Amino acid sequence: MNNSAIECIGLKKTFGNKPVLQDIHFSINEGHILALVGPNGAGKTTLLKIFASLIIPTGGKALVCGHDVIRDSIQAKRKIGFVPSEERSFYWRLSGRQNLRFFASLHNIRGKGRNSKIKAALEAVGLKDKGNVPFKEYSSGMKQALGIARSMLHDPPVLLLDEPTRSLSPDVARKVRGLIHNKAREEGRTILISSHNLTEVEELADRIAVLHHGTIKALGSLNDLKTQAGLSQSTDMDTLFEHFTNGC
Amino acid sequence: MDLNYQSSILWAFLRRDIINEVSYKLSFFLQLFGIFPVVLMFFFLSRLVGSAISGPLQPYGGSYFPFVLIGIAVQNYLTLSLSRFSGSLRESQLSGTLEAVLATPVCLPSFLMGSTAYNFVFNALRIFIYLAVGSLLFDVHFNWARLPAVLGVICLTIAAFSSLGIFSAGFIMLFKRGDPINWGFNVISWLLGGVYYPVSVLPLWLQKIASIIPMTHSLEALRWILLTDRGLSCISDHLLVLGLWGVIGLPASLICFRAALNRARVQGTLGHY
Repeated sequence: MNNSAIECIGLKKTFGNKPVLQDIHFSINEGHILALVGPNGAGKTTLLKIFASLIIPTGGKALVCGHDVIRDSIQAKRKIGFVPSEERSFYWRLSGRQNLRFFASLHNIRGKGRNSKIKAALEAVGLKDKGNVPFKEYSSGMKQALGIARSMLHDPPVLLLDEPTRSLSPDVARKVRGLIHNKAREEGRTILISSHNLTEVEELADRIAVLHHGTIKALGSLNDLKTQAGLSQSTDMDTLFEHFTNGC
Repeated sequence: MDLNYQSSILWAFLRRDIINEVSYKLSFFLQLFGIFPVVLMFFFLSRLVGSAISGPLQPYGGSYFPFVLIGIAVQNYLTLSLSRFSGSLRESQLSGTLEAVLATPVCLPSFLMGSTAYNFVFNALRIFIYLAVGSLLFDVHFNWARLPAVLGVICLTIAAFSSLGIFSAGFIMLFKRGDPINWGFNVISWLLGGVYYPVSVLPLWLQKIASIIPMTHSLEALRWILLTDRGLSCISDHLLVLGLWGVIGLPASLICFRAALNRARVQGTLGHY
């Protein structure tokens, strides 16, 4: 039985004449975490946005819980929680709670359940006491944390996280990593995460995909990658990353 | 279609925009109180004009002030509401919220309706303030008993003009700045729609062009309802034209907007500005 929550079959994307993703194949089983690593411009954000139905691929297929993200985009969107890498995705004059309430409505979360879900989401990312503060007064880390809270509001089985701990303070980043870990291990959610933080990748991911110039240079568990690279098991992540990306 | 879900989306957008607009207190009150000097200016202008142009105004009761009051109220309503389709899209591109909203399962018509709901509601309130100011302060007689018919015409007008607004939003989706569709229709509507003078004063060939503009029919219908005692059957032609604009224009504009949206998704420029 196929229990892939995310599947990528021969995915291609070009912008004009520039190939951004070339023949990408991978799948992620339910409850697993796949980390995308690669230098800037490798195609990580484009890949995540294809799964969020925000970019249409040039060829191939992207499936979320069996739903094609282009042909069946509404169903696919119901299954994902997307955290964009930039913090400009909220309404600045609304409070954190009002922002979450707006997005909860778009996800068809209504009635009494909505407030408890918003409260739980704010608590989970350390914004319990900041819910009524206008978003414009949030720090970069708080904005990022609110994005993570939004992605979890509708309990999606799949989370797409684009550098989720980028602007977070070490303590909140640790908390968010714990949250991501629990979402996969305890709640069985499937997570596709892009990150430049190799320590975070090492800590969280079941498998790692190294993207470089739009192609997957290596895919597997950390130990698999070390074996593929012909490096010893004691090799650190930085050396491994440099090996696959030629020091980019 | 889950109507409860669609109405909750509409309410969510409306609530978002109310909170946002009220947070700009000065701007909010200026928008409301800005009506008074405009009405006053046209009151003095109508005293200057007096009965000099009463001939062409006979079908509307013969007086210029009520005639132009309805003209500026409706023109104001449509200009402000229409520009919101492209305006709110542009704002969401600039604020970075467009991608966040489109990553949710909200469908396209709900997104477009939701994005403009506040302006249609708030600007409808402005229409009534215009008419109420004229009625209470300047003793203009409107046929208030026909208010349900006025609301009916406004609904048809919204449908007709929404199609133009959605076309211009599609333009903004692709080209980000500049809005020639909105600009062109606004100018044509001011010039030929009968806002400040009756269409009958235009040369015959311009009257023919005016007869296909929704503004002409919306104003004719509203003036006949509010300013005369003629039976409502005499506005049926105007309602038919407005209805046709809605029935043909809305699906066509939605198809165009969807195509523009998909093109932006292909180009990866959804969140660009």
